[in-house]
Amino acid sequence: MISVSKYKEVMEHIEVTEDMRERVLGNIAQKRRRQKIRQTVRIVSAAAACVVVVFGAAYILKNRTGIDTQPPAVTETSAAQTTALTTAGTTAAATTYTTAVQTAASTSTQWTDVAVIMPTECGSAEELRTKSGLPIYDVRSVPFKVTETHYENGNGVFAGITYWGEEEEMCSIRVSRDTTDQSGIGFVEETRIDKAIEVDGVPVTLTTDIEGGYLASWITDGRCCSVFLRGKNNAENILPIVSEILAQHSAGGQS
Amino acid sequence: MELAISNISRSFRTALQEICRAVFAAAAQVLPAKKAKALTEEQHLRMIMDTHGNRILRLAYSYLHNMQDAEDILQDVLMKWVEQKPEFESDEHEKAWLLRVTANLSKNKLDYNKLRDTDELNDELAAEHREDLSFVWEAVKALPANYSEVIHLFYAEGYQTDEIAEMLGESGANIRTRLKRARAKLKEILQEEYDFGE
Repeated sequence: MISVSKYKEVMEHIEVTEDMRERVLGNIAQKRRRQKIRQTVRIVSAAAACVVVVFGAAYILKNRTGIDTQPPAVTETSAAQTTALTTAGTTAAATTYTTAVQTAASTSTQWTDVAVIMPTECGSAEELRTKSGLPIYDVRSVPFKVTETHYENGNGVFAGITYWGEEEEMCSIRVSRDTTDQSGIGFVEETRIDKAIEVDGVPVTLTTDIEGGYLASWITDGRCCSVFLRGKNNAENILPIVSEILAQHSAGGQS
Repeated sequence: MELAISNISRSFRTALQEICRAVFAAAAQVLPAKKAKALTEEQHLRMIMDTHGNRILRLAYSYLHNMQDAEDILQDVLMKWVEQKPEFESDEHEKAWLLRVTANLSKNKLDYNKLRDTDELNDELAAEHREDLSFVWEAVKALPANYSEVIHLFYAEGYQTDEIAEMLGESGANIRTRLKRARAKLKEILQEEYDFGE
């Protein structure tokens, strides 16, 4: 039997050559120069736009007729309205910031970035529900013989149950604390196929991945739920699992 | 009157010269610092290339199986470093970050490689008549990407399963399961190859 440690010896044949080194560093330097030029153009354009807006506003205000020159009376109503507007503005800004952070976080759970949630293991679905505070239950409709089960608490951001079969079969269920997709499954944009269907009246998105797996995702009660299935006849076998999870959530427990 | 005007204009000229000198001196202090900073970034980039270039290239090759795509990934990873300028607590942290980004970018690129048949590593091993290494490489290459990545990080980079889990954003148990299955699959493939040779 050939030892797998020979793999390291195989990899030692791959090295960065001098040509490759200079080529890569040269390309990076070129890209940086182009980025700096684009950035400068953006700044100058933004400054020019500001100047145009300021002068345009000044011109319009100067030429406007029928302006009421009397200052508005400061009344209690006006003050209350001002406070309400300021609060609304702050709330809107806070909502926008939170949404932006969530959007960035949901993007970063795809293939591009660094934010990583380190899940912790639990011993059962019940323990997982208690620790994560999320409604997640074992399912019976997994279409293969389960040889291993893992219960993962993603620090309250998500809860996940992964079932492993004898071959390379795998079924991964995840429930997020909000509408952010925490399935952990990434798809190559150019070859992903999304299909919108309905399961028991709930809109579900079905997506395939490059290795033939299927991901079903949907939102209920303000939470994103997902099922990822890898194995045989995924398209047929994934829907009963989705249906079972929907029934569990409707019943508030195991079906 | 004319004398007064002349004195005023001379004072104005002197003041203007002083202002210009002060501005020039301030600019002279700032500009060399900026130039030094740019050199430092380039030097740092070369240092990363020297220290981690091979491991980035090898991990990318383990996904993509050809040198051109692996080189593109190496370039993209370094570009990410330049754009994000992450702060690292230690050398190990820097290494883990670079490999994590490499894995992510390689997976993004993976599908394009279905069209490519080139595998320079295989050709090189064949040219050296290292059938033993060719067997191992062909076997690892035959694994699904999620198995070959744990094999690479465990055997070629020497990471433990918990470290691999943190890098790939999964639980330690999942990684251990994947490694166990990858080894079993590898054994099955290598066994078939070995038996086939007899």
